[in-house]
Amino acid sequence: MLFVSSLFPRLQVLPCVALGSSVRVFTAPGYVIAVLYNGILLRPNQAPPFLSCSIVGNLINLNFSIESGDNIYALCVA
Amino acid sequence: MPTAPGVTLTANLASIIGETEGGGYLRITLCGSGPVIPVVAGTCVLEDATIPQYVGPQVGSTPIQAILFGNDVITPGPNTTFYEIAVLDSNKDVIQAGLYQFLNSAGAVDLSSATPYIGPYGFYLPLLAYLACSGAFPGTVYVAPGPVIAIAYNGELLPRGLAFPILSYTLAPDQVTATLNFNTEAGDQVDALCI
Repeated sequence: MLFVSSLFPRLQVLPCVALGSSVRVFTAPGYVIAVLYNGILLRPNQAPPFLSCSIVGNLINLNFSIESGDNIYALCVA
Repeated sequence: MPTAPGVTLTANLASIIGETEGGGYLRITLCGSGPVIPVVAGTCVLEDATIPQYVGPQVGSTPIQAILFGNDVITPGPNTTFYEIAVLDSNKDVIQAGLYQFLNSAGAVDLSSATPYIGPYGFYLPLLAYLACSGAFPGTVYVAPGPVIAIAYNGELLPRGLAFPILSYTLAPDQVTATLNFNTEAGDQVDALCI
């Protein structure tokens, strides 16, 4: 039987928050496994023109600027 | 207001042949803090996190005791860190180890009754990663860097085991080789959510 406790970190897809007024740097609610841009998973550490990101813990740096209406989510442990 | 360590962990070491072992130890290590200095916010910086701490030896039938902070009051957290607790014999040879998480409000915890922590996923969650697969473009066969949870085609997760025209894939028994039911094109990307 699989027991999932609400006390312990869970794998979730959660919205990220822009750092200050940045359109490239975001923080996730927990340790980031993968980043989603408008629902599409981003392969990390690629150079432009590929849309990509670098991840350090819960900090996400995009290699592009998002636009109004875009969303950044993270598959994270939170 | 400073937070006091609230877990009093006790362990009574005994022989498999029903005698009190005597002379054994517990080795307790705080793990899972990653690249962050673990702290109890507003109280202290944990100076010996990730360094094994030895408690013992057990004298006669008097249980070994250790006072710990609960993982819910340790940052990074709450409940990101965990303790590795190993049982050692009188020669300090490791007999067995397990992982545990405690709430700071738990008070007295008997190790013989504590539930081991393996996470709800059966593996250490930070091992999960989203990584590129290797393979030719155009092509159909791609190899992930580790056991596959899911395959993504140009960033979109694919369902597994469905028939064309639904874009899908099958996974080989080795758990790392995926065969798509369609041909990719030059410039496409195939990635895996894998362990």
